[in-house]
Amino acid sequence: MSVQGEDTRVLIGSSSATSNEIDEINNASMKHSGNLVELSHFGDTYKTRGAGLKDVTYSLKGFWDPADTNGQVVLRSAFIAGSDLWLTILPDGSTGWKQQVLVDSFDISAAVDGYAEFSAELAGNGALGGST
Amino acid sequence: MAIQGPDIKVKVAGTPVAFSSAATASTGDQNYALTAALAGQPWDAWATVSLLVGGVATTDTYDVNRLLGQIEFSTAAVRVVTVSGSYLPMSQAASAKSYAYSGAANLLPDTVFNSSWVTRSPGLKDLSGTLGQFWADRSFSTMLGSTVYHPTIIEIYDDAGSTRGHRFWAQLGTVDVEAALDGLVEETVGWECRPDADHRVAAFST
Repeated sequence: MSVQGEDTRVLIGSSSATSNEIDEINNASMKHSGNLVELSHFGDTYKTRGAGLKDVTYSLKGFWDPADTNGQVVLRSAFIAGSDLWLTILPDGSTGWKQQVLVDSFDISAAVDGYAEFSAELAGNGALGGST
Repeated sequence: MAIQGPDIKVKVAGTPVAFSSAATASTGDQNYALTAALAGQPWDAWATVSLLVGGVATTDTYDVNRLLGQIEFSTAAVRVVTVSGSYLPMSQAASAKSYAYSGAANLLPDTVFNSSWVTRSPGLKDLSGTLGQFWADRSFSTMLGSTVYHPTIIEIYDDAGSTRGHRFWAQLGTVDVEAALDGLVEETVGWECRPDADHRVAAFST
């Protein structure tokens, strides 16, 4: 059965034992990469590949909320400190993934005819785990 | 709660103004900030800041926080602190209509043999941004070409009622003015962070 986007939950914590929901997020994506290594050699007629280092990157977008001190502000503070966080993404609200991450970038912008917006890019820092 | 664009306010620093033996008050912790008309004003990025405690030079350890305009002692004590330096008068960018700022960590892969997942360490951090406004005068162009603003401060208030916004040491890199026959003249200012004499680049209000 398909999962509605509105059910998605994104949580962040400064340790694996803590996690708080990030408020005002309306778009989250994660990208798994196997960094495949091409192993083709003379005599092959089709490309062959081997698995490389596995990696996951994340993109979060939403409305900027400076009052979300356990969520969005934690992301910005971790960027400043260069500290690791634990990100949990639950597409259906209860089942998903958890991984130690670093904040690669964050962006905040606003225009007079809209609402202040927030986005952040995160990168995995180790193995991806499941979360329920 | 989401923030509506019309509630936002942006301020920009003006030309440095010297002050001498100005009184301070404790902010309730180990920090001392200027009072009265100078309260809350940031200080020049490079100008010398000197202070006296009880009228004499102090041996106490302290930091100068230029973005917040305050002296931060490492230990608590009752002190009478006076400060000399230069402050930056902040005034509202009356024609501003958009802003954006970005932080980049430039993460460095540090994966080693016998790993199956990528690991990383933070690299050199960077902050940059833009300020969009309806063109009003040549002030930003002047700032770009002046050695006085090295850098300046851009302060972004999440809402107009806040007592202080997010302050950035901003070295102006670009000033683009664009006019079209059927529109208003617009200006986009691009900036990149530049640490002050005490190695700070930003002070977030939350």
